[in-house]
Amino acid sequence: MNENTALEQVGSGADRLDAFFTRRGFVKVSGAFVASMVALGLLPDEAAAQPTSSNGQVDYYAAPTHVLKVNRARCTGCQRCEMSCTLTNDGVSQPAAARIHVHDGFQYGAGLDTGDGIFYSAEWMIRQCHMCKAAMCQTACPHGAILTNDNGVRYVDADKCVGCGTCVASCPWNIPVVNTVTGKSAKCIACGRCADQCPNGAIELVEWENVNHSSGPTRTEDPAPLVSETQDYVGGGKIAQ
Amino acid sequence: MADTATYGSYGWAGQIARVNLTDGTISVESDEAMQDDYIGGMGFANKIMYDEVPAGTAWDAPENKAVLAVGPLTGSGVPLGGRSTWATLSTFTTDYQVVDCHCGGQLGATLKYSGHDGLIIEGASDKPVYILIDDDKISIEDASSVWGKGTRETNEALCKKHGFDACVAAIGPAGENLLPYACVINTRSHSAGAGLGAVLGSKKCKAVVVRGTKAVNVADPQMVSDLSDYMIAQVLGSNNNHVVPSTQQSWAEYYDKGSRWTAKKGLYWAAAEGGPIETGEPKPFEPNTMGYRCMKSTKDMGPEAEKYTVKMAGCHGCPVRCYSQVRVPQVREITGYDATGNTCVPNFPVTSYFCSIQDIEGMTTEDGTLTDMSVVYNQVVSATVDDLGLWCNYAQLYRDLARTYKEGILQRELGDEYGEYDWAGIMAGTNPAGWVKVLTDIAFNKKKISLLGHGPIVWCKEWDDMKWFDTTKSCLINYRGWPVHHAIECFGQVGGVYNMMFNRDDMIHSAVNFQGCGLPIDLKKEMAAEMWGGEDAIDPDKNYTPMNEHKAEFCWWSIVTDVLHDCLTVCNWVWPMAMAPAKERSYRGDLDLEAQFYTAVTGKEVTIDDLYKAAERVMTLQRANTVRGMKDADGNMGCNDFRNVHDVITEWPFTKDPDIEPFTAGTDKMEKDDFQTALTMVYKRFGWDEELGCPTKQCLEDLGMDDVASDLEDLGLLPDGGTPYDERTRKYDGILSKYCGDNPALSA
Repeated sequence: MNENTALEQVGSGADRLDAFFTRRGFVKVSGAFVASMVALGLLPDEAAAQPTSSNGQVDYYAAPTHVLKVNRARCTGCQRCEMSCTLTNDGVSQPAAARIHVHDGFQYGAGLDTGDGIFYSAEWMIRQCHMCKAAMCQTACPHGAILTNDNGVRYVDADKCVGCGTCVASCPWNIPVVNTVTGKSAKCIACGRCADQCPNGAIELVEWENVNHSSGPTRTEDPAPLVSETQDYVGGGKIAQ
Repeated sequence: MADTATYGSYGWAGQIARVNLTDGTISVESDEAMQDDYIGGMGFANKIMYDEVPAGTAWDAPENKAVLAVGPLTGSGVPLGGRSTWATLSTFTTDYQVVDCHCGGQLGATLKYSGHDGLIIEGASDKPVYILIDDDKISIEDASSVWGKGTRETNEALCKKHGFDACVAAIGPAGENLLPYACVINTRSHSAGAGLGAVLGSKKCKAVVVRGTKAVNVADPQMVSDLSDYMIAQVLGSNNNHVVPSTQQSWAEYYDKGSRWTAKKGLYWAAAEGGPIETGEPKPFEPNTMGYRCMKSTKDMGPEAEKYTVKMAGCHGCPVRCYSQVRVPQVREITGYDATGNTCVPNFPVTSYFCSIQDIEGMTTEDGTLTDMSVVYNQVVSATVDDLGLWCNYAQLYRDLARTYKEGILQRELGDEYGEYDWAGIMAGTNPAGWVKVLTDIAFNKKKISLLGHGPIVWCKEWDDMKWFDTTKSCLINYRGWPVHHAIECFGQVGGVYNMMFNRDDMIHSAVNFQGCGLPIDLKKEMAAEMWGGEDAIDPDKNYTPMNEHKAEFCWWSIVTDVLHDCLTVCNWVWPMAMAPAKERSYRGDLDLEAQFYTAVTGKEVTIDDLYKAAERVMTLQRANTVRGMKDADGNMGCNDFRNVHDVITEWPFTKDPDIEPFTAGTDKMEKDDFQTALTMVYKRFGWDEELGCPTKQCLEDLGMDDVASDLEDLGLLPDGGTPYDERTRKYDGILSKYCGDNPALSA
């Protein structure tokens, strides 16, 4: 099995919460306490960046009950997950605003250097919300617009969101998106509609687990040379001409 | 329901972009006035062509236009709503009349998400350009860096520049060099053909690049979801809506070896990342295994393709994954291209089409099984033609290549150039790379062999082989230059007549889907009686009866459903839902689904009869357009005698199987008088002139097309008569509803 190399850049400080909070556990702590935990290396730096409530206290929830798990080898790129997601959550079909992302990787995977996409390996990266225990989207939001519901799911309060994109930038996987039409951010709430509609069972809504390394590789093992960098001919004419 | 103030109108984006490459002007205009009557897609594109491109325009003139359009269901979440259609003037059929160039891939949905229902490309640039649509921003960009490049490299270069989520629809060298058989490729291998690539080439338009981040607003999103769930669970089958598996399986009452429901235990996506994935036995009521039903690589390319199969894929929004994704090392070595694959002719061009006329050694084993080398042959051609943007006229190019090679025509006509190709190696089955030069030289339109890419109306005349049209193996069905697309072998007169309708091959699948769906003929006859009024609407294969009214009804229905789907735009390679895989519903389909989805998406209440009427309007409009531009026997432009000038079937359907009489078991041979009767009855069903086959005053008025009636009247080409709409129309609304108890729209 291949290592998910794209994740190496991600600080895994979130995992350290395990020692302190059980899943679905909940505490209210002061900003000072958070800062001290960061200093001790027990919380990610991002946790100290912004409190999620304005009264100086930070809400920490551990993991939500469910999370999406994907298997890219089974994904056939139909993008019904994206349409189903937005039909359910926004009342429109708008893949660019979906909480799961297939269409931007379909052609060339996570980037031209990956050897992925329908032009190369016929595999591509699917990006879905990892339902982090310490959700950087939430801790980073300068407006406290990402809240936590009773199931431990973080969601965007559209009334508070100003569409600044801090959540997108702070998420290690850039999962939230700011809708270009409404100017509001959106993130996955684990409703499972995408999994319902996946014709290949490539998406599952499962009891929460750490999915950071579960979605398979993010590049192919044997990338082919890039067409645009190696060929100034057409139709494979290198051989024939 | 999302508000329209934020997200815009339901279904349609509401506007069409117009780009004039002569003067560089760019504008957008409302399409609201066309929505009810012409729906979208093919309807919009044909309306614009009729209104804006005068009869007699040359296909390569700046006055010709290329019109891309989608419909209200495109990208809306409705299953199989990922198609799009273009209309322009034909480059390869007699009189160069209006044609439709349908394609799947990502283009249609992406265009819709950019906030446009269409794009009109007009005029011509004097230097290479491409059109960039990035949501609301539309611009004409310099294409000099990608001019001369194949479609793969063009796609990659323009995605580098504009984002990997951009859809690039590009022409290759074939289009640039104005080869009449040039297409536009998007998403690696999805082709819009019929010469569209040459039209864009004549405008120096290398590509259309689209990024779309907006929404398709939907009036009743819950109903779209509920109808989708219902359809996918129990109504939808596999590719071509085949509803039984191809092998005996525990769950299935029937099986049929011709079925494209080819999943089975022990058959794998063997090259899948992380280890083989079994296609298994996906069943009805299992929405999450739908995408394994159609194992198209081994279906088309034989058992050796299994080990190269990474997965299936296909168009945007479609749960039927019919598109092979294979990685064949030898193909990569020869062409430089990694993943290849298709679902139509370019998946098996050599073995199914070329080899139907000229054998190639080593393509099959002694028992007829396709070999490993045959996979390489097929995929080398596939990768090459897609990169060249070379279209095949529904496989005619491969049949014509084989014919001209076999009969010595190439040797005679190419002169010294004949020796530049490794014919011996190709035919010995030892040089798959030999195809590359053959196809590249055709695409570049300079060498003599490129004449084959001008279509049979050109090369058969130049190279003195007109008898090819009357030869069964040619598969040429109409003297105006197109081949069969499910013709007389598909319910006899039904397929034969609908092959005459357009100015290219018909691309109608409504009938052939029913033919190949795998249900037993007795059951299909019961279903035919419910849908088209009589069991005699259909005959068993190669055991036909003379023409009758129910066949005319079935033929009419096949045409209007096809046109409807190209307007909405949904895929007619699977729609309409005439049959279903679920025994629980007695295998009956659901003919109201298009209308229910239309209502759920647009908020406009319609019945399927309303939509069929709109599709009839679009078909009639295209015929009216052809009346204006078609030339009569004396070469005068403006002719309405379709029967004798346009709808002329070639001779071989009447002369094949010389030892068997028509209407006896064992042949799909036609009978001449009966075929004329068939034309008469279908003309009547459309309200057209029963002798000429052209639109009548009555029919145009019934369809609300008084402006068209007036145009044709001014030309003296509008006959009176025609059966009034109410007297010729059968009601389809709710026709199968007793089988559709789970349909959420019926209980809403």
